[in-house]
Amino acid sequence: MDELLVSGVTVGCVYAIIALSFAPAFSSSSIVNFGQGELVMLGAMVGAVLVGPAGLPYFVAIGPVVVVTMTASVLMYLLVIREIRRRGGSVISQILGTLAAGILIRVAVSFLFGQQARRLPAPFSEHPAQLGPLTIPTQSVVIVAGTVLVLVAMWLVYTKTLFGLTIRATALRRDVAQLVGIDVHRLTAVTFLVGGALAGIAGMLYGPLVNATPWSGLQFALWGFVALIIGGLGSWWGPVLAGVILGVAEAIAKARLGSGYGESVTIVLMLAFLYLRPTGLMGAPDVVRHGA
Amino acid sequence: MMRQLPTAAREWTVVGVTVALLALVPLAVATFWIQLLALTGILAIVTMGFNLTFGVAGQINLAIGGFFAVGAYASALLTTKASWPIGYAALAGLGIAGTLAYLVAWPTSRLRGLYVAMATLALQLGITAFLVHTEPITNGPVGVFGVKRPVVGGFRFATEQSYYYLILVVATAVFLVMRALLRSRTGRAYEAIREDEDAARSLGIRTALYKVSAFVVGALCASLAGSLYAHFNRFVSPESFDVVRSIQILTMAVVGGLGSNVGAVVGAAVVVLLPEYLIGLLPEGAPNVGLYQSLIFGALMLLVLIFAPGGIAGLGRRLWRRLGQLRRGRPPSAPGSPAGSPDLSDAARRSG
Repeated sequence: MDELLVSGVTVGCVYAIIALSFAPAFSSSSIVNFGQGELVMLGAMVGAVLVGPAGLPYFVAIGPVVVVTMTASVLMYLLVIREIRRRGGSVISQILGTLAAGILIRVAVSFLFGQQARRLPAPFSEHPAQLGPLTIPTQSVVIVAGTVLVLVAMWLVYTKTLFGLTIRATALRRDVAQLVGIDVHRLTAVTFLVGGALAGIAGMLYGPLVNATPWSGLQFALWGFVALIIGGLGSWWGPVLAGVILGVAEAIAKARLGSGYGESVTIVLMLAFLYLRPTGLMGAPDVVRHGA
Repeated sequence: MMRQLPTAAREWTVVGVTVALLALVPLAVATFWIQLLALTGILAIVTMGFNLTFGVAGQINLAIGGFFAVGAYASALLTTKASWPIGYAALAGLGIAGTLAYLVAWPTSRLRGLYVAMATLALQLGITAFLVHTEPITNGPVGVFGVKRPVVGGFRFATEQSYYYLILVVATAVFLVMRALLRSRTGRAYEAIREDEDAARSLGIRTALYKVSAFVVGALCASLAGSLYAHFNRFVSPESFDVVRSIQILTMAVVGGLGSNVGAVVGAAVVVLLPEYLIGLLPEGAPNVGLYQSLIFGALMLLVLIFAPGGIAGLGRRLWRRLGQLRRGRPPSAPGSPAGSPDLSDAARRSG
């Protein structure tokens, strides 16, 4: 049971970061990036290549990985979303555009690195930490610490900086934000950079725990999005809490029912929430009523 | 100037001539292309249903490949393992697909846009997982072999040609039913919901009921096509119905032009035949052929979304209008004039 809890919380933290990586672009452009999962996959794959065959130290590799995912993310905005929007395409067209761009990322990764599964070597050899009665694998410590760092950093940026204020203002009323002189297009580009960076970090953190293939992206996106739905769009702590609940529930289902049932729990939980409480645990009711 | 037939008569003529031409095709091409055209017909049925759900009523269903699987597996399993007659097996598939769609659509009918997208994506992954993991029922990753070609009134659709004609007949029937549905009061209600759900509701349209029905009709089309597919391919396995299939159907609808019934058929043809043609240009034994297919889906969808938001149907309408203006000797109108084409460019902005 203790082990399940530890692995559940660990995986849940990753879900939470993926969920939060949707947030910046969503708040500035009301686009849910269906390519976000592919960005996480890109991060995990590039990281696996850099740390494995190329032999870069794990913590050094985070730099180039994040640069790659940020670049891919901002290109998605500049070449796809902005182009569709400029020609009068609807929000749905833009979202479909991110889906198509995600397919192209998957194809590019397959051609570059092959389709075989890759696992990122963990930064520390196994010296599990001992916390009272709990034995905690080192990568769990890295993941939880990384998640806390990311959360604190994002919270600081959102609440304490002018940049955070402009994002929140744009999320609230895009047109008014434009009126008061916010360059919404540049801001949106920057939020895609932030979302890309978070995706890259999520890929680096999760890479040592999974065998990533070019096809892992949709799964990553789904986990993140389920955490986002259960936690509530527009909330900070909701997705984190939801991610952890989801991770633990999945770990228990896999242990008790068999490895094929992890997904089923995710799906049932998500449908239950959509049905009973579409605003999620902590979401503002507003978000659902107006559609997204 | 040529004497003009009334619009309705002209449309029936176009439909009739097209079907007649499609009926002549098997006489002229190799079996390989007949098989591809048969597959096109099957996927066109799915896409017409998907177009009704998404293009017309604005409810995305990313589990469409899963509903396709329901029909295919119902037909394959019931005819091989339980020796049911083919018709009953297909009906059972329709029953299961309809019930499943209904069960999923009620909770999601309260939701909009991307929530529906994610809920149905989850369902798709769930159906794939079910097909792979419940081996006692579905044979797991191995799939179901030995599905037989149907026999109707003593005639067995054994050859590819004969089965092609069966598909042509069913696809034409679905096309005509969809066409009638889109022009009915129900079709207009769907469009109203897509354009502005709140306004539609305020006009007294029971939005939840219509959203559910659009979803169910799309699922039924997919299941029917799935049954046709199982007997055509004589083998089903989970790979044929994974999330890539859903994305393929979505690509077909987008490329053809969301909201257009004709577009759904044209889109299916382009998305099946174009990759096949392009992959044929690759050198013999080239690796990663499947990847090129994904590449073409992605690139095609992006190009259409950016440069031709109305899809092929939208381009066709523009061309038609230009031709009409030229024939009447009027200069073509300035670009950017109100086009009035029912593509989604303005439609789903609010419901996004």
